[in-house]
Amino acid sequence: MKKTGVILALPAVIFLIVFFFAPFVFLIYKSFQSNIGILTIQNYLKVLTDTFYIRISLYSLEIALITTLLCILIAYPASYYLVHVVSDKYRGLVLAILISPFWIDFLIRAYALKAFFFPLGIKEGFFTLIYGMVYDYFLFMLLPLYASMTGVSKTIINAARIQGASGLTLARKIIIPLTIPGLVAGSTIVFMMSLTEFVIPAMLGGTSGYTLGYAIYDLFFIYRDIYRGSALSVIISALSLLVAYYYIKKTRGQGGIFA
Amino acid sequence: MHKFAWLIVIAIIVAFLYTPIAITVFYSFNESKYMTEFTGFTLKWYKQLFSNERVLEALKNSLEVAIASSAISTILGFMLGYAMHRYRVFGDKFESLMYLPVVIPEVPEAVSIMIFFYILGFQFGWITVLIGHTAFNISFAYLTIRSQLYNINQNIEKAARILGAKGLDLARKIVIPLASPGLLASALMTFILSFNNFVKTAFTTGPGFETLPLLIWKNAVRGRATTELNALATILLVLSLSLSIIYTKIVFIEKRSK
Repeated sequence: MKKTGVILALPAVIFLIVFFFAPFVFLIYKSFQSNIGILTIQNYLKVLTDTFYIRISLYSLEIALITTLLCILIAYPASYYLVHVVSDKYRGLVLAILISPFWIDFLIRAYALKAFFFPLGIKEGFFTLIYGMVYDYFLFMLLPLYASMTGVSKTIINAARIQGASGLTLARKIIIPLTIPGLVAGSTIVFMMSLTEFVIPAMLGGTSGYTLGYAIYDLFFIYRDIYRGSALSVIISALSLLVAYYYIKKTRGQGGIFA
Repeated sequence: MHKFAWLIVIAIIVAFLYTPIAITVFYSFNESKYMTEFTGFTLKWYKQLFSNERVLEALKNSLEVAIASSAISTILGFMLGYAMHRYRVFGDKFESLMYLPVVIPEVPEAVSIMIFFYILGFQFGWITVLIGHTAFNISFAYLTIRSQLYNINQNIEKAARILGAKGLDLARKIVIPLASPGLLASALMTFILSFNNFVKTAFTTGPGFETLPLLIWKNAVRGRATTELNALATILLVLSLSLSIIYTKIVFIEKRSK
């Protein structure tokens, strides 16, 4: 019996081992190689000490931070509305309306924003870049917050209301403390994704669009330096894994982003 | 807060999400090539797109890769999902491994497979793009189908087995029909993920192999929005949104019938 199971599982597992996990082993291997083929940590040292990359990393961090904060600001009222304000009848519909745009690929959405700003006469730069990032990552904040918000019972909110809590007090003393897991989960995923994003900065950033993701793209396609490019990719992947691990731990049992 | 005030808040968020889409669609019918002003309604940009060899070729490539990737990943994802569900071939640790292709940022993932193909001397083109897309699609397919299988009443399967259903028959007559909403959801989702994908495609494609997102990228990055590109984006927008409606319907109907 178990043998049938193994046979069924094998094709997918082999595919993933060969085309997902093995490439990462190659990537790590390349990141420790010099251009004449000897093993070295030079690539890492070069990336980690180069002021150019340090500056870009700091700039990308700034963008990621602002994006995360704005996503929180928008997703909080939206998730509160979804759980505690809208009637059961319309909840599914509102949720579908908020989620549907995320079926459109990043690139197309980024282009749509380009086509949106242009007739309005808004020049591409830092503002349009941030707008694009928030636009593209809002969902990843909304879903974990929504999942967390369903855990805040109506009774508690009503009790606070009866005691005379204002909207602000309610948010500060009840809603936010009770939705911390969703907040942390959403923030980590938005922060991490926006840190390495390169389609949006390239499409909407104008002269402010050179970020970490773009730096990797350039290392491969412009400078043809696969060794340093690999090192930078490994660093980013390792960081993401750490964050994802933390994220899955925080959201376990809540459905996470796949709720 | 008053219900009406909430309605305004949510309306602003919906406007934030949909105005750019609406503007893009609206200007795709613009007479003028650029978008500084709306000079009149026309379908000529759509006609022009559909008579442009390069666009048609890209559309064909996108469709071929998306259909193939969706089929492969849904079939393999189902086999794996069923093996995990019924035979428990691997433990929970394996389950978290399946999240990796979903959580690793796209750029490093794309870079790694590009290096892999390069070292092994693959010919870059549709096969490398297809493999690249399928590598993350399998995870999405598996995760979608697995949660569907979770929801199937185990007793139905047990009853069928006691009554003598075996192997293929059991799969064909019981498991696959019961899992079909999940299979359909997976097929749609993996199709759209592949059809729209840009980053993985950009890193795994070779000379002469272009998909629609690549075409938009080449024309739009660092450039201006044009009416013709708007028309192309509109086609992709409408396709994605319609699939999302179908997907929502499947998931929604499935949830209600439980």
